[in-house]
Amino acid sequence: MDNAIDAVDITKIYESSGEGVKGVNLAIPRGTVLGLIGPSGSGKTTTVRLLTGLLSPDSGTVRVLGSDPTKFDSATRSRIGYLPQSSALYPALSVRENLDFAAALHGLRGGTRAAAADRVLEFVELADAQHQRVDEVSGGMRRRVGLATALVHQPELLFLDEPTGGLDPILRRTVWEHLTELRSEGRTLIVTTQYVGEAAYCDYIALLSDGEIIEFGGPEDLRRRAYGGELVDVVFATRASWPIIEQIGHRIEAADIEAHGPRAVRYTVADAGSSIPVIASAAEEAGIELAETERVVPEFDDVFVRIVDAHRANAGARQ
Amino acid sequence: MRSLITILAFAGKEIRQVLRQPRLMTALVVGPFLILGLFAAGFEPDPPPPQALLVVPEGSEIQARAGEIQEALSDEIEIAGTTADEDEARRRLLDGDVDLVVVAPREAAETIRASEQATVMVLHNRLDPFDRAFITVSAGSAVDELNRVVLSEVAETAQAEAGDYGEALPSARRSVGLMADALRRGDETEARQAQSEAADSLATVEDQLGLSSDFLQGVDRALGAESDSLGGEVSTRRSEVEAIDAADPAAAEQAEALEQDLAELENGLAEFRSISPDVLVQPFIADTELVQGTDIPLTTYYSPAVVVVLLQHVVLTFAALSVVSERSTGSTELFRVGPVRVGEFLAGKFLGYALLGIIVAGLLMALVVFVFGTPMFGSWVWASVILGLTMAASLGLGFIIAAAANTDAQAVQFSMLALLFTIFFSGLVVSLSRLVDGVRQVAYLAPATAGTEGLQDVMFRGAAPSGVDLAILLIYSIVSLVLAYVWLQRRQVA
Repeated sequence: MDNAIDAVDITKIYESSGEGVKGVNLAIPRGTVLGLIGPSGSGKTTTVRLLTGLLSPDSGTVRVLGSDPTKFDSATRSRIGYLPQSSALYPALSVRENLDFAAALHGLRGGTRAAAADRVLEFVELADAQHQRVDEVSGGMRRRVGLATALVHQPELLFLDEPTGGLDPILRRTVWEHLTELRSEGRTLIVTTQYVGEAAYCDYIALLSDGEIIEFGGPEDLRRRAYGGELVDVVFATRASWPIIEQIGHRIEAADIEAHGPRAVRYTVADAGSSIPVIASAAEEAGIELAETERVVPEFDDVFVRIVDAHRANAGARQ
Repeated sequence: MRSLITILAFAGKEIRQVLRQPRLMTALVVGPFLILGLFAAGFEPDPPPPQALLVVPEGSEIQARAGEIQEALSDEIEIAGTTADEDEARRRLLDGDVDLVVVAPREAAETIRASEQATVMVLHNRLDPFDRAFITVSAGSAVDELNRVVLSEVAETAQAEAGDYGEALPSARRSVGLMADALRRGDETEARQAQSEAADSLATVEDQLGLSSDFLQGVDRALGAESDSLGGEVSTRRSEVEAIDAADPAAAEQAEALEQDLAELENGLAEFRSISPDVLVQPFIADTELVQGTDIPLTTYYSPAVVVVLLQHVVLTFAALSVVSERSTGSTELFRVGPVRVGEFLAGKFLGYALLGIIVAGLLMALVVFVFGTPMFGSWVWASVILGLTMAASLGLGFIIAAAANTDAQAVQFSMLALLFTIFFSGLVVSLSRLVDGVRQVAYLAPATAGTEGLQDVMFRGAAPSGVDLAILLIYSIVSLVLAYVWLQRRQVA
C-alpha cells in the first residue's frame, strides 16, 4: 500500500527571514502517528504547511495521499483534517455550532451533520458542553473542540499542529489517548509538539532542529542512536577497580563505560536484556558483589538534548 | 450541492455571530443613529435674529427714529438698544451681551449728497465661517431694508407731490374743452383765452410733478412696457395746446382730441397715487416653487442620507472585519486545507451580511418614516432596490478593504476612513453641487453618494431613482465584488 506521505528532499526558505526547512525526507505509512518534534522555530509548522499545500516547496517533491498537496481536488481535501496552531474557532458560537459549521464546509447535510457532531462530541468527551459558547469554555476544552472540528468529517489523514500546546500534563495525556484511539481506527496522524516526552506516543519521530530533520525513526531507535545503545546501571557492593570494571565491560561488549561514582558505573550495550545476566556472572568471577543492576530508559528530553548537542557539535566540526 | 451547503453555512455563521454580539450591533447601528438624532433634535434650522446694539450719533435723526428702524428690521436683526458710545458697544460685544454692533454712519446725509454711499459698519465676534456668513447676510438684508425704508419715504413724498397738482389738471382739461366749444362756435377770441388758461394750468402741473412721476415710468420700463414720464407727457400736452392755431379749421378737432388725452393723463396720475410706496420701491419679490416633489423641512431632508450612510457603514464594517478576523484567527488556513473556494467564502459572507443589511435597512427606514415622520412619496419597491444596490456595493467595498488590510485594527481604520469620506462627499454635509468637477465624480467612490440621491428621489420626489444612480451602484457592486474576489484569491483566504 502507498504511504500516506512521501516527501523527498523538500526545501522551503522564507525570503523575509531566511529560515524554513531544508532537505526534508519523510515516508509515513498509513495508520501510523508521525511526531514532528522540535523547539519553537525548528520548522515543524512549516513542514506541516508544506504537507497540507498551504506552502509550495522551493525544491523537492511532496505526495500526500498520492497527490501533490498544492493541487488537491475537493475530494482529496475532504479526506484530510487539519488543526492549525491557532484555535480557528468562533468564540461567539457554541461548541456544537462550531462543529456544525466545520462539517458543513465538507458538504455534510442535515442529519448526517448532526450525527457527525454527536459522534465527535462523544469522542472528545464534550457532549455535556456542546451548547456552551466557545469563549466560555476552558483552554483545554477549546483545544478538544478544535480537534473535534478537524475530525468531524472523518478524515483518513490528520494534521494536528501542536494539539497539546498550552495544556497541563493531564489534559495532554487525555488528548494523546484520543489520538492513539484514532490511530487504532486506521487513521494517519501527523502531530507537531514541543513536548519531547510525547515522542513515546508516536510510531515515528522526526526530530527537527534549525529547519532540518536531525533524526528520524521510532522512539526506541532514537534512544539507541542518542546513546549508542541501551543503558545498564551497575552499583557494586564494594569499591571496584577500573580494570575489573573494564573486564566486565569487555564481557558484555560495552560500547561505552561511564563511572557514576566510587561504586557506580553505566554501561552502554547493544541489548540490555541479554547483558544483565552476563554482568552478574562476570562480577562473580571477579569476586565482586553487585548491589544493584538495572536497565536505564532515558527520558526523551535527555535523548533530544543529546541528539541536538551531537548534531550541533558535528555541524561545528564540519564547518 | 456542497457549494450551496458551504455558502449557507457561512451565511448562517455570520448572522449568528453578529446577533450574538448585541453590543457590536448597538455600537454600529444605534450609536451613530442616536448621535445624528440628537443633532437633528438640537439643530436650529432658523436661528433667531442676532441681537444688535445700534451706535448712533447723539441727537441724530437716526437716534430719534430708532424705534421705527427697529420695527423695520425686526425680521433681520433685533435691536437690543441704542448708544452713542461705540467703545461701550464694542465692550458689550466682547462680553457676549449682544451679537452685533451696528454703527450708523456719521454725517450720512452729507456723504450721500456728495454722491457717495454711506457705510453702515457691522461689528461681530464670530469665528465660525457659517456664523460669519449668516451675520453678513443678515447685515446685508438689514441695510437693504433701511434703504427700502428711505426709498419708500421718497416715493411717498413723490406721490404726495403728485397729488398737489390739485385742480390744475382738471382745470386745464376744462379750458381745452371750452377752447374746443369756442372754436366750434367760431369765437377765436374766447378760444385763445381758453387756450392761454389751459397752457398756464398745464405749466403749473408740470412744475408740481417734477421727478415724482419717474418712479412709475421706471417700473413700467423694468416690466418691458413703453412709457414716458408723466412730467414729459404733461409737457408734450402743453406744447400741443400752445401749438393749436385758432384760425385753423381743424383746431376744434385738435382741441377735442387734446381734451381726451388730458382726461387719460388725469387717470394715469390717479393710478400712480393709488400705488403703495412700498410696492413702488420694491416692486418685485421672489417666491419659489419645487417643480417635482414637496418642500422638505431641513431636519427631515437628511433622513435618506442618514439611512444610506449608516447602512453603508454597517455592512462595510461587518464585511471587512469578518474577513480579516477569519485571517487573524487562522480559519482561512482551515478553509484552504479544506474544500472551501474563495467564491463560496465570499458568496456565503455576502448572503449573510445582505440578510443582516436588509434587517438594518428595514429598521432604519421604519424609524425615519414612521417614528420621525419623514415623508415617503415614492414606491417602497424602488426604495428597496436602491438600498439593496447600495448594500451590495458597500459589501463589495468592505471585501476590498478586507483584502487590503492585514489586521483588525487596519480594517477598522480603513472603514472609518471610508465613513469620513462618505460624510464629506455623499451629500450628507454639503450638497454635491458645491463640489467642483472632478471631485464631484470622485464622490461616487462612496456607494452612499448614489444611494442618497436615489433614495431622495424616491422619498421626496415620489419618482424612480435616476438611471445613472442605479447604473453607478450596479456597476460598482459588480466591479468591487470581482476585484475583491481576485484580490482575496491572491491573498489565499480560501
